[in-house]
Amino acid sequence: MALLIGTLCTGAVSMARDEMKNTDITKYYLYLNVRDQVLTAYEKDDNGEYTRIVRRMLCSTGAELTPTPTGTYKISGKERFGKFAHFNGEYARYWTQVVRGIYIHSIGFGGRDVERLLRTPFSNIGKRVSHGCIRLYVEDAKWVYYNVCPGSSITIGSDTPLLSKEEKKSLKTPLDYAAYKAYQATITDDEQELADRHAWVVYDGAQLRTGNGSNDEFIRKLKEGEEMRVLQEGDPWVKVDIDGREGYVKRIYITYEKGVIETYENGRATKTTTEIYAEPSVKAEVLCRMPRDTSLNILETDPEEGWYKIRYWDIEGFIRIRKTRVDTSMFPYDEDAQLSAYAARMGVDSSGTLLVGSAAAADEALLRSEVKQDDLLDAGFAG
Amino acid sequence: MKRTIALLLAALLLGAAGCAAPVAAPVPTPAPTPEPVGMKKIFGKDITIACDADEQSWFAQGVTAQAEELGIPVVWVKAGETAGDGMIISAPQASFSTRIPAIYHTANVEDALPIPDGCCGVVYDAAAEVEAALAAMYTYPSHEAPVRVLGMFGEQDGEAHAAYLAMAEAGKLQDKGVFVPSDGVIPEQAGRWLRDTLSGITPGRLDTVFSDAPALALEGFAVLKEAKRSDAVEICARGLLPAHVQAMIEDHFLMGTAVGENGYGAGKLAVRMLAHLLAGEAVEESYTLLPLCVRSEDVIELYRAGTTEVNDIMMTLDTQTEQAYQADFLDELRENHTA
Repeated sequence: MALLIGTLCTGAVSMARDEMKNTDITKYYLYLNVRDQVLTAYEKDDNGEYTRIVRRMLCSTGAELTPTPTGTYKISGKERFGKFAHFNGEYARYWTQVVRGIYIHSIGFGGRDVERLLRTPFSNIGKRVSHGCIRLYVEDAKWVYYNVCPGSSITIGSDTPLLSKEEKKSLKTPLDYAAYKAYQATITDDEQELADRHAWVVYDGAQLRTGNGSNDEFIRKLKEGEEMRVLQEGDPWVKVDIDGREGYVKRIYITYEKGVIETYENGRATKTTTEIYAEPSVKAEVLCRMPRDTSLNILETDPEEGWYKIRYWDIEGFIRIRKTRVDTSMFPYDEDAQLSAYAARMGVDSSGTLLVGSAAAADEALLRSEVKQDDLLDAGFAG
Repeated sequence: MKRTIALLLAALLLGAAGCAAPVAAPVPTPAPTPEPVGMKKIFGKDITIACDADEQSWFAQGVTAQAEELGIPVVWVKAGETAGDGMIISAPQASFSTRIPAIYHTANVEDALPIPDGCCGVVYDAAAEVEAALAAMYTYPSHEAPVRVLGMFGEQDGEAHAAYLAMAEAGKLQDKGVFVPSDGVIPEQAGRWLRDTLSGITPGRLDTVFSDAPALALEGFAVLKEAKRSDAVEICARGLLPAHVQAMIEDHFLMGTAVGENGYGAGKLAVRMLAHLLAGEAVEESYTLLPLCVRSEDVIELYRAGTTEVNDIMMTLDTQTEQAYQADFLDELRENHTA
């Protein structure tokens, strides 16, 4: 199969607003056995195999109707003490994003206050009761938060040997609710959280949603230039606070530097949750799954056979072209119509690469020379 | 004039950053064979130095190695005896005076005595050791949440035990069990306790075995090795001996960290300071050496790169005594005295 050199794209990196204690994405590997309700962190032995158990953590995963999705994913955004998007007045400590709206976090709190630990999530740990997230004891969630950095791998499945009843029981805290509530309140952070970043809307009409997915509830349209506090960085979705209202906005609609349009060579993005295969065959080993809307870092293309060779964090593998699309995410309404109109206006065909922000803003930026001409040409803005 | 050598490594030990980011150890290059410094020319006669340290001690190894390098014979004497042209007095227990140039060495800055005229000191700041060892345990990568610890202590309510309990109170460690000997520090007793306690802990629920005394750490190492656990549990030792470094070479996963004095380096430093004194040069009145944090990952990296001797590894890792030596020490002596 002849592979051609294709477009090299760069994906944005999710960052926490705390300094990670570990920044090596291969140092730890997480495996969540949903049958066991046990999350295990491994590190490499001298042969480079993940055999050394660093930490075993009892957890609560998704209930029958809201199961935690299986597969291998890359860890993404972080938030120290976050509010649930869909549940009013519920919070959790030490959030670590697995994929889209699925997070590892502590058991729940009734407010952004360490004294308000909720009793029911504490009692339910070890049971499948969540809405898909992975709930841990606070100390375990903190360990994951600081040590399992964005880009690390997590596999969710049921392939590892189950623990014995006694072993599993030993993972449960010996403390009762009151004692544990007091104990976990002593778990604090040694350093001040870094100041929240601020961002500004660059696309008039960008949508603020309750969750990080296009199906999540629409809150309101945003106006170009609106300022927001960034609560959780990520790609494609960023969690923000605008005038006290928390929600999610797509990364490409905002800029972290006021007045500057950031180029974004995202020629294509995943159309849906997409498998990365070790070889260009659906029978090959699945290395990892990428969430929908992830921008692609394409190394080689083979349109005849229908495969891209891509890089995703530390993984190189193959995905099917038909699982990708031109990233039309900057057009929040009728995507196809918007894309055609946009492409026609900019003089590129609909498979051309796009630029972050509105076309008008891009033009303006070009005039101010804040976006280099070459960048625009590379991005398909010929002429 | 007092001068404290406060170097980066020690600062890391004591500061908030602790040992979280060990400095990458330089790849060692083979040391050239030292040329005789010509001490006879320097002093106009053959000289001898005397040392009252235990000849088998790590400190004495450093004294011997440095003296050999300089071509100075060492006479080993009992405490209180005087011999040779200069003395290295180890752990003086009472005020002392000497008519010949002398360097004294003490392992605890709080025990340091008034320095008589003509003497200089190499003083280890043991008071900082507990804090440095617990900080190393807390900040070691893979921890930094409450560290899940089994503690083995030399005495109930001793300095280390009290600091350990304070860390638990502050949510920095999760105490999984504590051993305190009923009568003195008995490593075998601690070993039995550790063996029994470990068997009740599911792999993945323990990070560290903290030991308050060097012998306890070695006993803990033996127990962990025998247990063949599948999880990443390591020893963090307060106190540093060559045996700890040897254990790191043997199994770098199990003997993780040791914090203490580089006795070998202190011995070498004492001889160099004495040589300066004998040459009639001014030296610092006292060098205070801070605890050294030795990580197994650094040790094994050096070992795999070809530095296989424990003392050579120590001298590569110990940047503070290396700086105190002054790298051009021998050249200076030659230039000043053999022209």
